[in-house]
Formats: sequence, C-alpha cells, structure tokens
Amino acid sequence: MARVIRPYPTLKGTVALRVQAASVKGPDGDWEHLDVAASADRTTALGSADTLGWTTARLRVSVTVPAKATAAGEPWSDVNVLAILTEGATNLRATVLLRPTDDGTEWIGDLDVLRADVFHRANLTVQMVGTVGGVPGRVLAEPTEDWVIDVRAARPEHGQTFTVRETAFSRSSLWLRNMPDLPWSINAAGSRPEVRLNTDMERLTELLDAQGDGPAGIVGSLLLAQLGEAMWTATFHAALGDLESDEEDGSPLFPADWRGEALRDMLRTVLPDLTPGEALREVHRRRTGDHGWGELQSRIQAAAQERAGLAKAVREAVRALEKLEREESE
Amino acid sequence: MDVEAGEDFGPWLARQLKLAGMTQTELANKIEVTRAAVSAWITGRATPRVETIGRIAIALGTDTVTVHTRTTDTQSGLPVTWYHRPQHEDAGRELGNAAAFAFDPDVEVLARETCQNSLDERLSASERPVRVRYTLHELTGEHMHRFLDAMHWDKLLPHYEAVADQAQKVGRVVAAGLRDMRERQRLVLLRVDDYNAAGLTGDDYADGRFAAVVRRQLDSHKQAGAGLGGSYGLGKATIWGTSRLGLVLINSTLSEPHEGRTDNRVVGRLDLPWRQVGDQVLAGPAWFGRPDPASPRGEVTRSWWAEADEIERLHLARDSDEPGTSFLIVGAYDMASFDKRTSDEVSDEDEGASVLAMRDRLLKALGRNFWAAMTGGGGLAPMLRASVRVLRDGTEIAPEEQVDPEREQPSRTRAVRAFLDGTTVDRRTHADDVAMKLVTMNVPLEGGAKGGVPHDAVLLVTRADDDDDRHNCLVAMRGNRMVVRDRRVPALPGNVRPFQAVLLLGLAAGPDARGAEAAEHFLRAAEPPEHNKWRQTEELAARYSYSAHRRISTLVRDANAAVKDLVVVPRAERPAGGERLKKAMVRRAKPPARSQSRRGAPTAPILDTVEAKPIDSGAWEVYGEIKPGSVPEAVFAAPTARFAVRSGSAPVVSWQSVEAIEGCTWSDDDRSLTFEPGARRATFRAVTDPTTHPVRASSSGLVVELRTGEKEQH
Repeated sequence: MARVIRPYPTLKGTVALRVQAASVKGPDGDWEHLDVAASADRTTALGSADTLGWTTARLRVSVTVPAKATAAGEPWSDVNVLAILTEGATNLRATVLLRPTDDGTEWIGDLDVLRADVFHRANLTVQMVGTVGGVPGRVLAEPTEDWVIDVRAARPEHGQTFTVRETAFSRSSLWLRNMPDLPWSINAAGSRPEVRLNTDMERLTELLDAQGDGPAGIVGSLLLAQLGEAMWTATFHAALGDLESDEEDGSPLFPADWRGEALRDMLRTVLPDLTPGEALREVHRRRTGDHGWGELQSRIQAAAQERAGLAKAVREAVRALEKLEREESE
Repeated sequence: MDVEAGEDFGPWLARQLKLAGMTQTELANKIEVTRAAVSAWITGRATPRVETIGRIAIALGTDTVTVHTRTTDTQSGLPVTWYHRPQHEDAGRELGNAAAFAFDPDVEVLARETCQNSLDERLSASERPVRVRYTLHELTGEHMHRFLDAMHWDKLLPHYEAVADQAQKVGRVVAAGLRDMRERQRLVLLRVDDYNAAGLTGDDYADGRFAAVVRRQLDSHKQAGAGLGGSYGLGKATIWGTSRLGLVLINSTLSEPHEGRTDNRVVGRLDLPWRQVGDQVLAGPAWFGRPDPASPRGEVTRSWWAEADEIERLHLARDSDEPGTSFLIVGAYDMASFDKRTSDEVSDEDEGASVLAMRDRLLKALGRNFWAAMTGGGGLAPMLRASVRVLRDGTEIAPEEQVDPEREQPSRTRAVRAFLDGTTVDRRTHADDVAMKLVTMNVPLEGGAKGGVPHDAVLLVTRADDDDDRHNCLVAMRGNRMVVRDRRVPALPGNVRPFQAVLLLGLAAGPDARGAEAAEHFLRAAEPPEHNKWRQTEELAARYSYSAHRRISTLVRDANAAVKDLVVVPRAERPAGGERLKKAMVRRAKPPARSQSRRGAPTAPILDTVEAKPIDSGAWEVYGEIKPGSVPEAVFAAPTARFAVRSGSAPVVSWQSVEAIEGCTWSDDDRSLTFEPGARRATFRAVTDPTTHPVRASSSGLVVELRTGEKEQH
C-alpha cells in the first residue's frame, strides 16, 4: 500500500510494536503463561499453548513512539494509542486503548481475544490518534510493520503460507489413491492451503531438502523450483477465483492474507504497466469476461517462475552439472 | 616524645641519615651523644629527650616540628631527579620494552587493563565500589612548559633525541611525540585514578605491589586470594605503551603504611630502548625520584613522599585521601581512534580531534567490558564505578561522565541485576523476564589428578534490547565480572527472538555456588595476559594438565546448548517437506523490479517524493518528484490520486489540472507525462477536481501513485 498523505500534520518517526507476553485461559478458568519464545518473527504462536480448548488469549502489547508524540508545542493534543486486531476472514476488529508509561514514549495494554472470534491468523497493529485542528480521533502515526496473532501455529512464523504434509498417496483419499505416482498435490484454495508430498515417491522429501552442488543438490533445487512454480500458479488462480468485491462499486479487492501479497507481487510481472489496483481489475475482467484470459496464461506462468526462482535454479544446476562432468573427466 | 607522631622515630631517623649521607657516629659527634645512644634510638630501644631533639633538628638541617611529627622527610636529602639504568655488563642492547611496544596503543586495551587492575586491588573488606576515573588533559604553551619543568624535561630531552634518531619503531613514535610538542606546543596527559583500592604498597625493591609495577616488567604480583585477574601483570605494559614518550608518573595513597606513611608516594618510570647519550651508555629504563643513598654509588632513585606543591606541579594531586593509585600517562595517544592506520600514517590534523575521540572510545570500551562489574543488586553496591572527563589547560571541556551500564548494555545489565536481586525465572513468560539455568562444569584437579570438582555456572537469558549493538551473543565472565568471552551463539534457527545471554563462572556465580573457588582458579589459569579468552596456557598445562583446556570447550558447548533450550521453541523434528521448502514458501516480495534493465529494456519511472495538502477550493494540491528511469524518452507516467479507505477499493479522484514543472511535459490528451531525453528528475504539480471527491479533502487521506508504461514504438 502506498503511503497515505493526510490533510493535517502527522507524527514522523518510527512506531514499533511488539507483543511482550501472551497467556491463554483454559476451559477451567486457569491462565497459562506462554513462553516468550511463542512470540518471535513479528508473530505470536498461540498454538504453542499446552492448554487444550482455551477460550481467551490475553496479549500484552507494547508500543514505542517518538518522544514528540506527547511533547508540548506539537500541533496535536489528546493523544491516545490503541491496539487493533483484525482478521479478513472473520471481519474481526478488536481494539484496546493502551496506557502510557512515565515518559510517554512507551504505551502498554492488554488485548483480550476470544478464540471463537479468530479463524486462523489475525493482524495486530496500532494507531496513534489525537485531536488535530479541532478534529478528534485523527490518525497521527502507524507502525511500518504489523504483528500476526496465529491461534493455530505452534511456531511463530510471520510469512506462513501453505501447510506441508507428507503422506503416502497410496493410502490417502480416494482421489489421490487413483494417482499414486504424483510427486505432490497442491491445494491453494479455501481456508487450508496445503501442499502434500507423496512419501510413496522414494527419496522425494530427502531430495527437496538436499544441500550442496552434488547430484542430489542439483535435482533437489530443480524439484524445489518446479514445486514453487506450481504453488504460485495455483495460488494466483485460487486467489483470483475467490476475490471479494467492493460493496459500492463492485470492483475486486485484494485478499487480506498472504495470498493478497503474492497476487500483488505476481501482478507486477503480469501487467507491469498498471498500478496494483488496476492490474487486479484488469485480470479479473479478463478472467470473468469473454476474451483476453488465454493470452495472460504465459504471463502468469512467467510470474510464478520468477517468484519460484526457476531461472536461477536452472542456471545453478547447469553450472553444477558442468563441474561434476569436469571432475569426472579429470 | 610526641605521641601524635607519624612514623616511629627509629626507622625515620635511620632514613634521614641515609638521605643526608651521614653516619650514626657523625650524628653522635654533632649532637654530643655517644654512638651507642644513636644506635639505641634507631633500633627503638630508647628515645631522645626533648632538648636532644632540638639538636638533632639542627644537625639534620630541619626544624624541631618535623622531627616531632615525622610525617615528612627532612629536606636535607638529595633533590628529586632522573636515574637511568646503565647498560648491562655484557653490553647487550634492548631496543625497547618488548611488552610495551609490541602493539599499537589502543585505549580499549588500556581501559580493560587498568579497570581490571583496579577491580583486583579493590579493598575487599569494603562494600563500596572501586572508583576509576580517566582524565584526558591537553596541555598547551605555558601550561605544558610548567609541567615539563616540574619533571625535569631538560634532563630527559637528550635521551629522547638519542632515541628519536634510531630507526626502530620506538624511535619513530618518540620522534612524532617530540614533533607534536615542538611544533604544536601541545602535550596530552591521560590520568587513570582509582580510589578505594590498595595503592602501591610494599618496599621499593622487595616483593610487593610497588615493585611489581615500578621495578619489574613482567612480574604479576598477586594478592593471596581467589578471584584475581593477576593485577599489574604483563598487561601493565599497556600503560607505558599508551605513552608515545614511554613515560608514566605515579602517585599512590597506600592502604597500609609504608615507612609509617600513606599519602603521596610518588615515582616516575620511563621506558626507552638502549641508547647512548654523551659518554653514557644506557640500558633502557629510568626512574624519577629521590636518590637512594643505600644504593650502589647512591644514584638509584626511589619513590619519595611528595609535598603538596610538588604533586600539584606534576599534575598528580588526588581528590581525596582514599587509598588508590594515579597513573599519569605523559604524551598519551590512541592509534585505534584513527581506524586501521599505523602510527606512521597519522597526520597532525587527525590528532587535533584525538582527545575527544579518545574520550568516546574510552566510554564505549568501559561500557562494553565492565557493565557487569558496574551493576549492583540484591542490596550490594556495584564493584566498580568509572568515569571520563576531558580538560584543556586546566579547564574542563567535556564534563565528567559516569559510565551507565544500563545505557550501554540495557539487556545484559537487566540480566545480571535480576540474578543479584534473585528475581530470575525458570521460563520466561514476559518479555522483560530473565531466565536462569545452571550449567555444570567439571573443573579439573590440580596436578593432573583424575576426576574433577563440579561447578555450577549461572546462565542468564533475556530479550535483546533494540539498542544493543549485537544480538544473540553469549558473554562469559568470572569473579571480577569483566567480559572475557563474547561470541555469537552458533547454529540458531532463523525465527529466534533476539536475545542476550550471560554466563557467570567461578566467583561470579556467587560465593556459595558449587565449586566456585576451584573454577575461579582454573579459569584464571586459562586466561592469556590479554584476559580476552580462555584457552590452553602454559600455566594451565603446568598446574593442571595438557588436556585441561578441553573442559572449557565442553563448558562452552553445554552453555550454548542450554541457551538454545531457553530461546528456541521446541519442535518435534524437521518441518514437513524440509527447511528448504519452508523457506521457498515464505518468499517475500522483491522491491519493484528495477533489475529489468539487464534485458536492455527501460526501467520504469518511480515516484520518488510526494507532498500534498488540501487547499481553499476544497481540492488537494499535489507536488511530485519522479525518477524517470534509465531511458526517460521511452516511457510515460500518469499520476493517479485515490482517497484512502480502510477496506474496499479506494475511490479514484480526477485531476482538475496537471502542470509539468521540470524535466517533463504533460499531455491533456493522453493524460500522462512525457519525459525529456536524459532527464534525471521530473517534477509536476497537480490539483484534484473537488467535484469528484467522495468526501471533503480535509476528511480523508490521499494516496498518489504512478501508472507507467513503455511508449509504443512507431
């Protein structure tokens, strides 16, 4: 999102946000304080709780703002800082006012979240608001980076995307049983995007994780890039097929989660001349309209290849192969 | 006899006779008593009568009060002067104190060495910290000359000139120092004072702190007791090495009287290489003091009890009568302030700023190495307080600044304080919590015996502060709480929340910790003179065994593993699909592709700066700066404006007018900007059409973007 210019003076400087502590309340009413390691990488993994069926989580939110925020002689007054938790999937919007510590540069508060309100990953951000030019409640500053509250994950990972599962296709769902030779299966649609790796395929997972420029590493890198291309192509199509639209003008909206980010990134390659919003409208029009969709396919593929780093993987594989051949001939 | 007297009469009289070069018989004859009577006074078997004291005073050329109080020496002795050690019998030449000139002077090394000495010499009976103060004093013109006169510069100069002519490194350093004084009339003194420390006690020549510092080069005088870093060991050469003149003056207030006195024991020591001055051939070192009649030919100089005006002239006056030592480093310099250059490459201009640069580096070094020693807690005061100030010709130009561990190392200081306060936790649930875990070390037995003594070291982990310079490190220390080892914890997973870890070993783990004394001794033996790591040393091999140092590697490995236990979310095994796939999936968006230029295609114009404000007509007035990219004439750009919304698509507003200012032209037909060939920057001003605003301009934020594209080729 491009920078928003406000019609009034705003606070310059960095606003930093972090979750200092997290606890969850079990069905019996006991609080479990999570290890601080549950919060890392701008993410709090509430799934790391040992309490099963917890109902409420309490997040200690701490925000550091520049000293100017509460200094005298600035154009704003009645400054407040509030923490905001939102989730696109559930339309959740929970807020809590934070209270300033002594010098007014750190604001702290507890945000309570009901487990039932969050589907999977909610975004935590803060806003500093105040009265400017007689108008109350104006946004003065926002952090550059938000925080993710993941109610399912056991490990904090900010950029979490697909869930990976290793399964034997021969003993899996009926549809996969019929395709026992597939190395992988990708489902990018719906609420649980998933990559399944076929453990019937010998050495597949080992190759995917192979390092170095030996034969296993070369094959692994190529496989990984190929899987990546498939993943991002699937993501592009799944996201585009499930767009929400603006209630007023019906124009399509970017998904709120990581798929929105992937779509934005790939659209830069697909339609480089357009702003992201225009590009989204254009691909949506072509997909739902009569023509132009087929012509886009090669571009979508290019975008997926680029995101998956296929060109680099091929280049490196060729180089590694040449080296192997040289060594053999010596 | 006067009971208020300072020193016992006997030893005092004996020294006065020595100073005056008078025998017992000569004195007996002068004051008309028997030689046996004088002998009885000196051995303390008898004391003179009051009327005899008057005669003794006359004989010694002093007044009766001096004889009564005996807090000073009579002035009958020889004047304070320099004594240069003559060349060795075998005519061997030493071209510099190997220890002092082995490295470029660095105030960080100096800070470590001096603070460590002061910590080791802290009066341990007191609960108070040892105070260390660094004073950088720049003397110019008249001030410099007065100081030089006070230390008999005229007698030293020929020696410096002889050395400056030599081609060795020492010669170049000395020559640069002399040039600085001559051409710029400037001399930098760096004084290092400690208070609440032992002071340089003991005889001038026999074993003791004084002789360890002043007489010997490599002696490491150690107080009997554990927890010492080996004060005034090899490292004391750094004090002399910091002087480009190899010259240090010392004033010490003693914690235990020597010759019945404690205040203002003064001596100077010069470290120069072999040299020939006139017909004298000299071995190297020289001492500034009072000639000792008991020495061969009565030439060797020894420390003297200086008068107030003397120490004032020598810039050696101490703040209080608290015991401790002041080192005055004459001609101090710091190569490390000048990046990686060697001493030959530093120009005079560089040195203009050197005093303040040295101050900054001193403060940093003190904070980095001694934050733990400066941290108190659990009702105990810190072990150390340190401060730095800067003077020029007696006037303060940077006020005394006390090093604040909390500011220098906020997170680590929090960790050590929590340990001292006893507020650590087993498992951190709040960001500011400090987790504590014991790491057991198997301390080897002395003499290479099998088995060992278990020692429970204390590991502390807390979150890293944003201000810390490095994250995810493990620092380790023993009893004096000086940082000895500071390394990153290896092989951490990528998503670990930044932390700091502290390992307290030996007596730092607390006097009651299991095996604390044994570990303290062992680690002390494993420390090289720089005290910056633990490893195999000769002392370690000799006192323990050749394989003893492996216990340290084991400890470090165990400590790193314990850190990981505390900071990493445990997980069953590798993620499904492996780490590489995991990484590939969270691939972040690259910044807008500029890399396309490698294909020869023009790069897209970028909207570099936007300013906008609502104007009276109700419209937004926008000013924008564009970087047109690699081939400006091949691309176009159309600014667009939208109103910011929280959710949903942002409504686009139309331009009422767009005006190209610089580097471009605006076409109303294409509604886009065309750039001038070769333009590096293009600017425009645009005004929105208020009739297309969904709400008033003053009620919404504005987002300005650039639609860009390549022009069609015709």
